[in-house]
Amino acid sequence: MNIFVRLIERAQQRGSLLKKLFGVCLGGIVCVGLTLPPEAGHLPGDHLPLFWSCFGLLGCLGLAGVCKWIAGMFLERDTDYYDH
Amino acid sequence: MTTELLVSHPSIPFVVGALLMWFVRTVRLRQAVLVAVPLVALMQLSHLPDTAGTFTYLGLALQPLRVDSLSFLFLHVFCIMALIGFVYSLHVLNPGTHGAALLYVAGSLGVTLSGDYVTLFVFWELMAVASTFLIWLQPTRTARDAGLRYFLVHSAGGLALLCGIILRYLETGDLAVVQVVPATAGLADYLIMAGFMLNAAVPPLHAWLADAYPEATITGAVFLCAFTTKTAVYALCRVFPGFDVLAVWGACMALYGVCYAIVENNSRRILSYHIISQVGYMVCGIGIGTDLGVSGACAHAYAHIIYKALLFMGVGCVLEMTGRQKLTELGGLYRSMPWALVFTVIGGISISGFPLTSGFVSKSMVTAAAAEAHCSGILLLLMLASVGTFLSVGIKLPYCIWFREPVEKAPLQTRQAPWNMYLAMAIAGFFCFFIGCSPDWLYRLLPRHAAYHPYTASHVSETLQLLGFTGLGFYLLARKLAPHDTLQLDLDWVYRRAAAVLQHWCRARAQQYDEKLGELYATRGLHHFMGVARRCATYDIERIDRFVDGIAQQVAGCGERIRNFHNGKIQHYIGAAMMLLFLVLGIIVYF
Repeated sequence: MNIFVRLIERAQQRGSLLKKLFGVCLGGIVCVGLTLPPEAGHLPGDHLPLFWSCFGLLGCLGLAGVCKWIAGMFLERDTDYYDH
Repeated sequence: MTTELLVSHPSIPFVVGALLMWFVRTVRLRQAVLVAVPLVALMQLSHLPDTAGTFTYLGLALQPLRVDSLSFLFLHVFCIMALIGFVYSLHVLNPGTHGAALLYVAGSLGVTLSGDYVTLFVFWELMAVASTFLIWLQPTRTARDAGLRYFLVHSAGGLALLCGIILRYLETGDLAVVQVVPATAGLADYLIMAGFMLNAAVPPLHAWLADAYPEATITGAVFLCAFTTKTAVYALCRVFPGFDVLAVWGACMALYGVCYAIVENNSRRILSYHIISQVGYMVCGIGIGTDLGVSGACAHAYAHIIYKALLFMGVGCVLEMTGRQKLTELGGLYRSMPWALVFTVIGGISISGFPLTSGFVSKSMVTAAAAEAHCSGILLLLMLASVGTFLSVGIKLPYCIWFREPVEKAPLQTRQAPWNMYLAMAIAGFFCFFIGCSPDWLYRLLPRHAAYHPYTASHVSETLQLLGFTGLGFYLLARKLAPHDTLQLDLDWVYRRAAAVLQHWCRARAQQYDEKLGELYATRGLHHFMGVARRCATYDIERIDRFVDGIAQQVAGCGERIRNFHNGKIQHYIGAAMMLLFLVLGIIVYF
């Protein structure tokens, strides 16, 4: 398992390479998404190419933003809240 | 029939195993029992009869063993999960934990096999009681409190279920667990549904799950995450398929759980919220009610039990080794716990629905069912929940525990995890990939036939787009998503605050009444009470004491006379005996 640990440490040291690799993977996914015909539409716009890429990115940003905002505004309390 | 029932019912080995836990003192022998019991149950499954018949008890027709493809699917995964769970907990020395877990599994299997509501209710409550002990066995104050809340909430759910069963019996005179048609459903059916929904953690009846599971014992949480909610899913699948309200509720539930998981800091609470979310997919599939929907719900239940247990085992391993479960207190563990990282990531990509994993072939069945039924709103919610799932469990959880630099500079003190924990995780990880690579193996077990092929080029492409760009979103938001050491309010706030207010009110009122009573006693009552006490004392001295003293004097005099009668002269004794004899003879002759 030391090889696995060394691999992670090396990847952390070469952060820019990791980013490039991630970018290449995303590029590959986009290329495949552009070439394949989308399945029958069930959501507005899902017949468009790369709909699910946009859905994933915007959904992630939107969901994280909204959840953080709601939590910060209404839900977050100190950890000993129920002890008082 | 009784013999056949005892031999073939898979709950029996678990009950016997639980009894053995109390009597067997040798650790090795207990470990052997723990592995043998689920294996025996698995062997029993291959020889299960369709039914062990019906018998009458107190005038009620009971059917404690009924097997069809639906119950078989759940029995199968429950037994496999029991095996994985007991392997994971082999190092635990407390036989109480094992005993409670064995009874808990027995209850779950009993519910799955029951053909009537009385049997179902008995096993349902067995599950509730046994699972409470899996929380209480964690020796902390928070676990004690959370366990009590868990028990009270489940008691309320059990009460709703019991009311529904009684009403149904009064209305129809029938206790058989059969499918209810939405058009004919009445109050009794909806009460039963409420009981099932509480155990399935359907909002707003869900808060017990995220409250209790993170406080359970490490091995207890692994069992809890697999059985309670999935037994409820089985019950909903059996009785209420095709109820539209479940489809909408399930979709909302899927997103609700994910939203909380995104902002949560406690790793086991994140996973608990994800149980709510993933059970939402199942409830949604059941509500859609088509062959694909119900099959998708069952397939997802099967896959979910295993990968969720794997996630709980991975995080439990971290808790066992470091004593910590908050993301803000963890980090950089890839050096000391690389295997736990590997297995947790396998669980994480499975729950996210990556191709070649079990989540991909099961979750997509439910979304395909929603698409097939033209439920666009539901489909949108489910896909958004998929994004949130990958964001919170697929990326954030492993990143914060294993990769991110720890907030505290002092290195975490870790010990080597027991080998059995890794073995259990390896078995669960194997199933995640096996189901993902051979979906037909799972599809053959499904109760309804649904022609579905997950590995189409466009489906794989769409999934990779969704997950890949969610990963990009996390990369952009990594700092903003850093967890905070806070508590998130949920709907348990209602009853926890209500209980606190009630307690405060009662205490204040009780104090008020106590003070008033004391004042009244001092001003008015004391004089009267003293008078009554004086009269009682006089009566005691004048009457009772005199009466008692008189009796005592009489007894003493009588004793003195008897003592004088024993003068030691034999002729007096003979004379007295003869007189007594003549007296007796006289009486006999006279009568």
